[in-house]
Parts: sequence; structure tokens; C-alpha cells
Amino acid sequence: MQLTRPPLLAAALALPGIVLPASEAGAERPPGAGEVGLRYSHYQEYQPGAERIEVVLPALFVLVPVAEDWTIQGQLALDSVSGASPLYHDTLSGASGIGVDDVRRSLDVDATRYFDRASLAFGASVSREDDYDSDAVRAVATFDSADRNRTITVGVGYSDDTIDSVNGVAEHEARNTTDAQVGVARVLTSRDVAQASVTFAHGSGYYDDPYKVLDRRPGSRDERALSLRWNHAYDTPGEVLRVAYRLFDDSWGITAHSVDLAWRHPFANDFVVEPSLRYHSQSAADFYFDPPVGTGFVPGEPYSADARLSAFGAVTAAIKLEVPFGSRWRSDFKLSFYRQKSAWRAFGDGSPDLLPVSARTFEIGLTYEY
Amino acid sequence: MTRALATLAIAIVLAGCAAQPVQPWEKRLLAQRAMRMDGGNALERDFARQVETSREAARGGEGVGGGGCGCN
Amino acid sequence: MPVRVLLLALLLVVPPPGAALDPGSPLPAVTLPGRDGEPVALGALRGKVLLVDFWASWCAPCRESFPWFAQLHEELASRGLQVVAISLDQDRAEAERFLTTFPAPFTLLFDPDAKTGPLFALPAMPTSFVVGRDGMVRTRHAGFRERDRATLRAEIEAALAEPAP
Repeated sequence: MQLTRPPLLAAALALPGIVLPASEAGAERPPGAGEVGLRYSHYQEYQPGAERIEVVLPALFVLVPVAEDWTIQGQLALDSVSGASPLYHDTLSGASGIGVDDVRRSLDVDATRYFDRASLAFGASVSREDDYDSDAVRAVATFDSADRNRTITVGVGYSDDTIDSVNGVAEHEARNTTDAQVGVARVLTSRDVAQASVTFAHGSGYYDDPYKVLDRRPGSRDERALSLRWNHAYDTPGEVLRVAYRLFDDSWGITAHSVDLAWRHPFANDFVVEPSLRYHSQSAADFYFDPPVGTGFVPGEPYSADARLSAFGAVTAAIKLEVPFGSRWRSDFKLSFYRQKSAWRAFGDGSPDLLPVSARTFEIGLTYEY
Repeated sequence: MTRALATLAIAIVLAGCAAQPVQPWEKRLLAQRAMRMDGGNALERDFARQVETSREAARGGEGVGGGGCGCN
Repeated sequence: MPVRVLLLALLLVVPPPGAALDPGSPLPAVTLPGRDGEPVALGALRGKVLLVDFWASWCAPCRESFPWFAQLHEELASRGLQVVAISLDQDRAEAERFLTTFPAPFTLLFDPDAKTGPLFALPAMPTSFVVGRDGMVRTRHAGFRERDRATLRAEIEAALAEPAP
């Protein structure tokens, strides 16, 4: 019987790169304080008529200032996926709900050297699962203008991945990706900062999903992303509105728009409540075919019925509560709901016959600054 | 359209509409942790991105050289 | 045409208004209220070596510099050093909250309208100036880092060693 991998975090998912320090135009650098963060995240997914998938992810974050011009940052995460595979129209065995267990371990380390008006960071990531290994390196440089009202960021990264599916379909298959990013952050007023960045990625190698029947994808993928962010501060310290938009397109024919809104609102004694809303819409890949599985399949041509490559819209609604205790400790609790529907796609029709996906996440975090 | 949008966005940020540059002593609100573009919490941000990339086809725009994933 | 080039070149060379207050310039004449509300004129402090520091409660490096200034004050006040910290906080209450956590036994002045910002052409927060007994600016430090401690101390010692004008 074929083991159907939950498309979810099954594998891990994109391990985080480092976030553009470019964002810090106007802020003090380097960070004067060290920081330790602990976070426990729980993800549960539902599909009509299917059993649940669950992901548990404990993670640790450490930021250490070293000497006076260096910081070292590390992140350790362990995610375990359990539960039945969701009933996807494209998985033959999905309906039987075979249980799946997969564990991923990942480690990221970044070292940053700060100069008077610049910084240089080097980082590496390692991620291990039963069937997917990934090693990545990156370098990011930032340059501030003399008045520190503008920061330019340039980054490059490379990742070397190996796929060994447990069903033997993919044996030591490789995938390599190179990416580059350029961004500009700017202080607009004494309460507004904006950032624009473009990212280009080129990958080649094995992209098929070894756990799906008839899944055959191109041997390379070129991606572009344009990201725009705007943060606005209100008079009350800590009250901030964050808006972000990302435009994505790739050589597989997918175009996506994602909009993020978050409003951070402090109340009574430094408590903070942060409601946020996200909308995502994407078009389908050129080689995505509507169900039933096999429709449109031509031997030798790319073909996929993976719902993630279909056309749909998705909404995430979340609420976070931050509770400080003492001057150095902060805790937070976050609840979010995710729903994906074919009919929610913007600028066009969604793919037909998709089952809506819903997910709920709960997170609890603890941060200590020293 | 993508290119036009990108050019426009970068032009806006580069040129800015800031006729009056913000002075160092006027950065009280900008210096707040909550004004960081990454939101100030790496673990929270990464989990959100992980949920998104596992369910959607788009990614990127926040950094480079992330480790790969088996999520295709 | 050469005139135009020259003008362009001049534009590039001539510092814009509000350019840095360079070493060698006289300390601008300012009078600001102290902690008790009594006005203090910087000019009246001539004859002493001054460490004039511009700070704000939200400035992260200021948390490092204040304890060190306090120590410097303890050690060198008797030899003629006067530390003058000028707060640019708009909200006095925020400055006072900072001072509760970081006690300052030296001279404190308050400039909530940041008049001194353009006057001293402050390039960063914090910025500090070492001023000689003659009222002339000796050096300027933008920001405050670990390595500034040794440099500032050496500059202050040198200024203290100069004979009174």
C-alpha cells in the first residue's frame, strides 16, 4: 500500500531564511541585548470527510551579542506530523486514511558583524527528515545612508536538497536552489517605515511528489517575488499597524498575491492584543489538471493534480495576546484560523472540484531579554 | 505588469515622499521593537511562513537561502 | 558652462545647513531648564571640561552610557569635569522613568522641543561632545559603543590636563 504523505508540514517546509535586516532603517543597531525565545506551536487541519492531520512544533531561538560588533543567532526546531493523510482528490490511497508519522529536525545559525553604517551576515541551515535532507548557506549585507533613513540590503543564498522517498520512488534525487534578494527600506516620517524588495530564485532538479501517482513536474523552477511592507506607529507606544503585500510569479505559470494586515494594540499595563488578517490568491500551474486524476495526462509531459498547485484563495484570521511579566519576560498566546477555497480566488476562477481545507493553529511563546 | 509594479514600488521607496528627512532625535516611535519589519518574533514568523508554504505555491520576499522542504 | 560646473561642484562641496558641529567650534550658547526647572546656561560652565551628552529614554545605547557617565562623574568631577546630559524626550515623564532605572548624579537639562538637535547638528542618538575649559568643542562621538569609553576617557583626561585659559 502506498504511504500518502500529508502535504502539510510533512516535510518541513521552507525553513526560514534570515529576514532582511534591511527592515531596520531608523532603528538602533546592533541589538544591544541578548534574547532567548521558546515557542510551542500546534497545527490541526480538517477536510470534509477526512481525518485530521496534526503538527506539533517546539522551537528554540537564541540571540547572543558577542564582543561589541557581533551577534550570533541560532534556531532549533523539531516538527512532528501525525494523523491521517487528508482526503485529497489526487491521492489514490487518501480515502483509506493511512496514518503518517514524520519528524523533522532543523538548525539555523547566523553570525552578523556590525559596522558603523553597514552589516554583514553569514548563515547556514541544516534540516533532516526521513525522506528529505536540506543544507543551505546564505550571506546578507546591509548599507545605511548617512542619516540612517535608508537601508539597502543585498542577499544571496544556496540550498542543496536530497530526496529519498520512503516508498522508493525517489532515490537520492537532488534539487539545488540559488536565490538572491535586493531590498530598500526607508524612513518616510517619524512614524512610518516602508520597505520594498525583490527576490529571484532559480532551482533545478527533482520537483515531483514521489507520493502521488502521475506526478511529474518540470526539472527546474524560476521564481520572482516582489514584497512591499509598510509599518505605521501611533502615538501610544507599542501601537503599530503593519501592512504587507507580496506579488509572486514563477516559470510554472503560477501568479500569486498575498496581503497581510496586523494591528498591534497595547492596553492595561503593557498587555498587547494583536488581531491580524491575511488574504492569499493564486492561479494554477500550467501543468495542473482538474480532477478526476489522470485527466489531461500525456506521457512525457508535466502533470500534477496537487491541490497546492491549483487556483484558489485563502484567508487567515488570527488573534494574539501578549502578556509581559517583569521587565525582561514576555509571553504570548496566538490562535489562528486558516481556510482555503476555490471560490475565493481573486482575478479569475478557482479550480473546480477542490475540497476546502481548514486549519487551526495554537501557539504559546516565551521570550527573555537580557 | 509585474515589472511595472516592481519598478513603481522601488521608485516610491527610493525617492520617497519625505521632503523633510527624519532627524535622529525624532525616531522615538521608529526605535520600537514593534516597528521592525520582521515583527520582532522570529519563531512566530517562521511558523506562519511554514504553514503558508506547506499549503500554497508561492513563497519568498523575506530572506534568502532558507533550507529546503519536502513540500514541493 | 565652466561656471555651471563650478556651481555644481560647490553645491557638492558646501555643507548643507545644519552641518556637523566640528571640533574647534565654540559650544553654541544654550540655556535650558534643569531637573528642578531652574535654567542653566551652558556658557556659564566655562572653565570646566564638559562632557555634553544628548540622549533620550528610547535610545538603546543610552542604557549603556548612563552608568558609565555616573562612574566618570564620581572619578573626575573633583578635577574639573562636568557631565551635562541633555534629554530630548518630548515627554518628561518618559525621561524621568529612565532616570529611575539609570540614576544620574550629574547635571541634567531638558529640551523637550529638541531645539538643540539642529543647533548641534546631532548625527545620531546619543551624541556626545567633549568641550575644553575654553568653551571650544574638542571631539564629537556619534552613538555609544564599548570602544568609545577608552577614547572618551583619554580625550577628557587630555582636556583636563590643559591649563585653564
